[in-house]
Amino acid sequence: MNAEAQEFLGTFISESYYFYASVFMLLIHAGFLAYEGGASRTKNVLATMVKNLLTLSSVGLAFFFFGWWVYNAFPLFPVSGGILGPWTNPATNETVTAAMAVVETSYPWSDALAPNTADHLTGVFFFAFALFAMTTASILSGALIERVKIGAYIILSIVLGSFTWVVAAAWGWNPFGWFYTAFGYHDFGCSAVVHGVSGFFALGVLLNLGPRIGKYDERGNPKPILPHNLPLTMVGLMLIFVGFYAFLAACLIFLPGYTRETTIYGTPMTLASIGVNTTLALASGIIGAYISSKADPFFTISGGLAGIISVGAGMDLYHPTVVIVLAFFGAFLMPKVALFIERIGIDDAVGAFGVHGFCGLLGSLAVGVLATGYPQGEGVPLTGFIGQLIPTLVCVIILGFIPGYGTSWLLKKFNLLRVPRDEEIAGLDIADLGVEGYPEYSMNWATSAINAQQRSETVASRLEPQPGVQE
Amino acid sequence: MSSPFSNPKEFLEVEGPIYTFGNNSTIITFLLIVSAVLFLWFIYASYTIKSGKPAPKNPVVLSLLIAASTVSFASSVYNSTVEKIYQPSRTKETPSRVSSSNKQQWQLPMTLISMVASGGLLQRRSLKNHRKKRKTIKRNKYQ
Repeated sequence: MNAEAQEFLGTFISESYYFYASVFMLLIHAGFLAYEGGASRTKNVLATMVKNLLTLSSVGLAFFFFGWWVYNAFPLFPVSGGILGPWTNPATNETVTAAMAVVETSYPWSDALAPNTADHLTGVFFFAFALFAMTTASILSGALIERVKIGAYIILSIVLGSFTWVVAAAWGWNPFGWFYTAFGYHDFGCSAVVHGVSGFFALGVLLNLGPRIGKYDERGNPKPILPHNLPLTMVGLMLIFVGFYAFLAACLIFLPGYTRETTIYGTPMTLASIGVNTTLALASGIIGAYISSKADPFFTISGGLAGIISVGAGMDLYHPTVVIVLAFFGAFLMPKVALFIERIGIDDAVGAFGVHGFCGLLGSLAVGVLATGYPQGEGVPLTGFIGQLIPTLVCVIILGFIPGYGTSWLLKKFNLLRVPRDEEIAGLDIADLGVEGYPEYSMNWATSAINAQQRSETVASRLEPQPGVQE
Repeated sequence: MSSPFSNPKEFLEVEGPIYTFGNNSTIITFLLIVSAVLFLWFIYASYTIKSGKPAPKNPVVLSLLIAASTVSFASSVYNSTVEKIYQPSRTKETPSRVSSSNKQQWQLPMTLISMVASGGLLQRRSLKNHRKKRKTIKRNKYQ
């Protein structure tokens, strides 16, 4: 094989690796679709699934229009520079020169994203990040089911998936990001950058959205609203698990000419460690939630996700025993957090805050405790608790909770956030889509009540002695 | 410090293990024992948890969990503070693997063992209390 062919092989391997990792990552979305659909009631199943499906469109396109640019343009802002764009002089300093080379490939009009034999990699990285963005928005989607207006959800998904999360990624995950360069922040699997931001964003939205009708009794005590199809929910989470392996694999950097695999921070790692640690986190998380929730099926299956998120930030460094203990701890606490949130009057339909918000926060902070003192590069501070704490708080409060609360508050003021009461009672399948998810069974509670009455009348009439008929 | 590296060059060019507590096999052994205990707890719980009914409380395991998290948190905060204080002197060291002092290495497991032991005592105490209560109830029944 000649040198040119060898060089191309390196490019092709990188291109293929990110392409297929991203395709598998799409399973997260399929999983969320099934998970949320199963978790909703029959009268809302289709609306929930369609809403989830629309995330692909809202975030996919918004990420192309500005999200990808935000990731590359915001790393220096506001600590070590401004927002990078067509107005920036690339020759300002070395860092700006290096960063601008990437910024220029992320404009929607850039030829790097179009078919271009000179650039095989920008497009696959865009694809991977767009799926990260959709996943982030889908986390929000589950929390709001059965009462949010589709339009409101689309706006919220764009704000979260194509802007606030992306700013968090630019600061905490981009190698030029100031979380990393100023604090030595380490968040390999995006515990705070993805999950913390989205979990707290969802919490902010839920405060304005309010609980579903019937969730709380007159005294304000929560009443269970059971998933209509728990097996579907469980299958959905299994798909999410598969996608998560791909998500974490896509966090690895291997580029043409590289002699080793690195994290996004340029530190050494192995794909094998992702295989081992994700498996152990999944296993340990499930048992943590199983024990803690006293075998509640919904929490038990969510425990796998809670376990992975709890160890995600330091997965490239943790010894497997650290992973087992930490994932167990995170998943053990998750149901308690979810129930606490419910008790204080916040109706988080799928426990998104407990799984993503709390475990994301825990996972990011855990690096500052369990993986302290790692050097990451010349001039970059060592990993440490303060270096994790400050960026994590910025992620969950400034980029998560405040934008979530603020955007939903505005939508609420314009009466654009929540569906009308009668639509919520009738079910969003009929109100939004005009069709039921299970039309042949008439399982909608309103119609089933009528059917039950009709059935009882029919049965009663059959049992009554008919005139002229001998008993 | 849970990192076995002292400088960026050493870490970025490493050929071999990079994992946390790589310089402290005692902690890894301890965590392995905790992991095994959690696994055993899981098997035990799978017999005791039925239809969402509460499982009997197990103070040993609970105290183990609380102890592990509290001590590990406190020790790393303490270590990072100490490291920061002694940062200037560390730069003079040769770039070799950081090895904590024996005192530091043994401090954490010893604390944990003592806390686990106190958890065990708690369980014994609670068992004693439980037996006492049972006896009192029986006595009251027959009186």
